[in-house]
Amino acid sequence: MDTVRIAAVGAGVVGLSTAVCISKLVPRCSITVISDQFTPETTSDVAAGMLIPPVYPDTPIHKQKQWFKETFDHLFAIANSAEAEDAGVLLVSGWQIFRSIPTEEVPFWADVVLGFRKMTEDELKKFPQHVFGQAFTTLKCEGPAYLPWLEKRLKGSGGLILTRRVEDLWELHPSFDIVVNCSGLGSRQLAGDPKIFPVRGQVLKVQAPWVKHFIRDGSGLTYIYPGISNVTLGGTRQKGDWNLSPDAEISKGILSRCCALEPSLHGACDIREKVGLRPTRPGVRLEKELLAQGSRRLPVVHHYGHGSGGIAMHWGTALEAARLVSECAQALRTPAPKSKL
Amino acid sequence: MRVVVIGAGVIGLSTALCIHERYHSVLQSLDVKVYAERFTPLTNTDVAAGLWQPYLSEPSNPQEAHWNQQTFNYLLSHIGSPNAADMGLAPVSGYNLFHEVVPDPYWKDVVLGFRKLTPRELDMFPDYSYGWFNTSLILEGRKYLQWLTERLTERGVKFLLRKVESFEEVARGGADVIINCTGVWAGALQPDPLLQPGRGQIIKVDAPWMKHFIITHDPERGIYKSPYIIPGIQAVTLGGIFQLGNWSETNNIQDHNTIWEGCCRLEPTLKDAKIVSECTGFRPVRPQVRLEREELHVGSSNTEVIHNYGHGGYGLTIHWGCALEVAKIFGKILEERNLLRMPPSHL
Repeated sequence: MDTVRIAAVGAGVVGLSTAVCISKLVPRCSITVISDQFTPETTSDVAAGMLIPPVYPDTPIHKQKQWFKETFDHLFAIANSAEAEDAGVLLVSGWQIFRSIPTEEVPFWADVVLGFRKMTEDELKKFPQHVFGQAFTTLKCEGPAYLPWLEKRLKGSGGLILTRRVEDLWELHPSFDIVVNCSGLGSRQLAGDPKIFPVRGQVLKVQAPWVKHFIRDGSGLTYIYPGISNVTLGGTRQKGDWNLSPDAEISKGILSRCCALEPSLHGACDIREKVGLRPTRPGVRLEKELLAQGSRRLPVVHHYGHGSGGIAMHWGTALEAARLVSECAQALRTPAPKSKL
Repeated sequence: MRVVVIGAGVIGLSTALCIHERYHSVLQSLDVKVYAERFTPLTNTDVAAGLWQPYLSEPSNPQEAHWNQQTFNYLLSHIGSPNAADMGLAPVSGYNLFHEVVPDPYWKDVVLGFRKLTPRELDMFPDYSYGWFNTSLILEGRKYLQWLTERLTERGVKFLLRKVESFEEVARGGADVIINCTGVWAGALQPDPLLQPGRGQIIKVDAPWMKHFIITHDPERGIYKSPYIIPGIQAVTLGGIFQLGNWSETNNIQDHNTIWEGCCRLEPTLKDAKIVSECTGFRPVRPQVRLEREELHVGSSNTEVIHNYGHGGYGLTIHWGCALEVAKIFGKILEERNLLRMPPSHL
């Protein structure tokens, strides 16, 4: 087999970054990203893109830390290069604050971000309702710039992009030899996976250029994330809610909670409401599956279920997915009558 | 009581406000006027990036350290008000970078969260081997002057565009107390060999991804002669020019190149940033701030002059502490003249 033909389903941050990693890792392959939605219409475009990782209950901590570190290092290099503005990557400092002392004062990712330390008494005075806080510098990676940047990288190495809604992974057989399933919530249908469900997030994107720091309440429900051209105010975590239309009452609530943390936001203007459905799962599904139907075989690498950690973990998980794809490609190339994948 | 403030930069306007706030209600009548040749956006304050940060070494007058701290605390008390951004005020964090280990600055406990840089942070700046991180404040000159002007106008303070030729002229016009906030041009009213212009040139760019200030230090070259990048509310200020004795008000192409090359080397992401504007200003450099009173005998009356000028490159950093000190001196003058209706509530 000369060229291994690989299809990546899904064009969010996971689909595109996986495609880029595959194009770099797998020799003699062609990679096509297939999706019905592209930037700026993906979930990755709604996310603020702050590198503050969630915890996946089903994934060992050392693995999460590895994925986060690989993503952080990858984006850190971009942030310090001339590409930073194009790629939508920037450094932001700020505070994560708690209304009661958290059980874990130092999270697993403390030494991955920069300058992590406890907030001083003087710093906490700014947040009278909060008794504990962490100060650090991390990265923000903005979908609307980063996704086009990934697409450019992909096309530069010969990758293709196809707009199409895939209803069944078998549609990709026999045109493609390997499928990488990065369809997020789409995997409920495409992989028949009942473990993945939406956690609805509503945010406001506002103009408040004087805000230079992020502020995140430790509960994760209220946050202020300054970006390149707007500030993201959030948020909500509504399990099982598929509704993509913004709710005006929720927007009022978000603005009010954020103004309580940062009163200068009363002067924010040009307020835009956005909704994203986090593709949530107890752990990221990152594994091979050989689909079989009669005599047909289709090797699939599943790579989905990042929940609220899509951007924070994408590069680390994409590297691993690319390794799995590489293994599949190797197996296809190895001439053996009854090869097991 | 007729007060004339000469000068409408940050020193003039903040001193006028401080005096009016404290004495308006304890005096039978208080008339405050501001005379100036230049108003915002044409003052030196408008050129300043506006970062609160004193010089690294202790000031020769220890009162200045106190005034710096008073200013920081005063500004900090406005953080948390919905109007902070209208004042041009916002918290900002960032980096001070050095080529070798240096002692901590005397103001390390005034700013928030002061710490040394970690090795990974220093990796971002390959030309530097040591540094600090802290949270400070931005007080954008132009916005702050606009805000001060609004507050003063609400209080009935009048502004007059006037070139003042002498203190006597103002005294003859009926002023009881003159506050001299003429900054780098104070020498025109009264020769002061200690006062010199510290010419600065800055480039303002559109680089909204820059959320931190980055200030480099080169002890061999001196303060403000090493590249610095300071984000403001809308634009980012790039600088690194300090020329003692240079009165040239026009932008200089060599200085432009020095700033641009220095800042792009420090922060490669600036390479494609769009230039919004470029300006020149004169820091009113003096070994220490001149803040003292002087009696003027004009005809048969005594006019008091309170000098408040010579704040170098730290005018915004020190302004409120100085304004409070001037207000204290003003209060003494009122006491001496038996003008106080009731004791001032606080000074």
